[in-house]
Amino acid sequence: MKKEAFSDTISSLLYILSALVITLGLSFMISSWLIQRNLGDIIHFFLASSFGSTDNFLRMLTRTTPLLITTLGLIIAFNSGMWNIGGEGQIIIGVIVSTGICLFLDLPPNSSIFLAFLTSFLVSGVYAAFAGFLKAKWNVNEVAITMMQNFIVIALLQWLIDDPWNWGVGLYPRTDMIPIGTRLPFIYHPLNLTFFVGITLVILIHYMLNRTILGYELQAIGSNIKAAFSQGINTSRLITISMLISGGVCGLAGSSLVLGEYFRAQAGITSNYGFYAIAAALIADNKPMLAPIASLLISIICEGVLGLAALGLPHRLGQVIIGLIYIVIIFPKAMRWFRRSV
Amino acid sequence: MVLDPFSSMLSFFPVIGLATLGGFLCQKSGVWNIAVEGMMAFGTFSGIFAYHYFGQSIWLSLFFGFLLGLVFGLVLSILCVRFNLDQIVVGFGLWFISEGLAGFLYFTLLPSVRVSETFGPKLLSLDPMFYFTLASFAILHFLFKNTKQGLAIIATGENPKAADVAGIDVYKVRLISTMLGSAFIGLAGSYLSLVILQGFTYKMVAGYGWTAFALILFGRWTTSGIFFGSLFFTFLIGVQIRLQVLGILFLPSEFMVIIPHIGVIIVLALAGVLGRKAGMPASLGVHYERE
Repeated sequence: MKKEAFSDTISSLLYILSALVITLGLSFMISSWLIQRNLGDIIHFFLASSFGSTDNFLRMLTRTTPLLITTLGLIIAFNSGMWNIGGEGQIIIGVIVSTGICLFLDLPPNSSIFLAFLTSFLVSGVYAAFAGFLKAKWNVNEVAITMMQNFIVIALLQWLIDDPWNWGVGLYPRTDMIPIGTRLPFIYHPLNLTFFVGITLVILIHYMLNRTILGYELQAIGSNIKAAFSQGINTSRLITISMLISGGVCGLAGSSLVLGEYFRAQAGITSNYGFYAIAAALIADNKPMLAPIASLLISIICEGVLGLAALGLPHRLGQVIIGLIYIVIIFPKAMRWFRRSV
Repeated sequence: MVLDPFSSMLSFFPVIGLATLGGFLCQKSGVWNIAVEGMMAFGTFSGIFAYHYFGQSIWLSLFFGFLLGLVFGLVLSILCVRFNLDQIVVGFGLWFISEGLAGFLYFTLLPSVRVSETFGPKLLSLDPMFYFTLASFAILHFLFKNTKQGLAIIATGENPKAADVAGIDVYKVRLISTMLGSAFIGLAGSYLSLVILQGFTYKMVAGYGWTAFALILFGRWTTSGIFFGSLFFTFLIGVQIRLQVLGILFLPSEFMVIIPHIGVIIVLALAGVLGRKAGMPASLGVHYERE
């Protein structure tokens, strides 16, 4: 039994890797035909932007961190059967809260960093738990609510950086830089401390989901909510808690973007991570331990496509490739190619 | 573009109305089409593409947008209805594919295209598309109220098993509704680029697709609900444009597109709290497999 599960994991990983290579290969071939460039050039530029130099590699890891944290957040909700597609909004809540605390509360730097992480987790968690609460109490569709919340919060951020928090004369939609003391230090430029936050979270969430009662109950309601209910698990409380933790972790991604990478709130700060993290969670098969690899893959694509801009290839290509990945990843599940789901 | 008060108040109606109607048709048959934004984005591209390559005719370009919407609908329904893939994931995938593809293809295939013609003939300073949208809503209302086909669509959305027992081909109904709905969404997109903004910019749909999605839920899946919802929202956009011209703002412009989203949360939450039915088709997003 155990052996079968193992070989299934291997075969589904092989499937994912080969599917990724084929998707990328096809997109490169089509684009090399479209812009009349050598296929080798395209592959070279694509890989160089992530692996070309130590600096590029570390920058790619830096970019991976918020994506990884968001992926972990979503994995918690997905494990308990909640379709939390509000990652984008939850990151932005984290961004808004952290920027607000660092810019406007005059606290000692360390306590403001701590407070930024803590408050982001709480505010973003409560914000997501609202959707969970509606679902648990009155069975309101969580897909609709979390999606609608995304756009409300995106508009809120846009308004804040356009108007009240705008820095300077309103030329760029962004806020002032946060004080130097509140910026997280670099481990080795450009890799910063949030990377460790991400890695710690992987271990914490893996432990929580697999080794604690809470994690067991969350997975129980995810696999069969009726059975869990009849076993005496308080399902409606757990759904709310699952969304609370999930949203909170996504909020941490927002603080790490502000405190570690951009040092301000600005337009497009999330770079669609909230949505891409869904693809990463699918690749990781909702397992926290696989999340680093999954988010690394997505991040390589995002970075690689930015590198292709040097060849005159619009970086929208990345969006297309990630879109294709969504569909490619879930294909075997429906086709039942593997005994276990991918 | 903004000529007289009446037409500017309603000039957005085809965009919002057709997109809402298209998404509504998909959802009514039980398929979440959450790629509305992306399909509209692809519609904006395909309209401009056809305008540039197939002889500068707005009518033909609009039809081309409609056709490519049909193709995207075919892809969506093959993936979600035939292969039973998860509709939310496929929706996200198609959203990114079509939006990205629109930007990608425009910048690789086309020079910057300007649409110089005006779309006519006009009646009461409103163009034919406005009346087409009104007519489509009327036809849709008639379809759901009075015809067997409309009933078949509702039945597949509510209870596909019962529909199948009653001799309705569930797959076919879902396929046709999804394709037609997506075609309307594509048409809305190409109208946006060809007639209203008269050119292409990346992300020009700017959240209107999601607004349309929200309006379907806000209208609680009824034809009259989505009709008045989209009309009201069009009116709000019109008022906003007027007031911006005069330099008055009653709401920061960022909040304009999300009014329906707030409405959706209130409507769905209230329906839940009061224990009413939100009107959502019971098998929306649920796979159907014959046993």
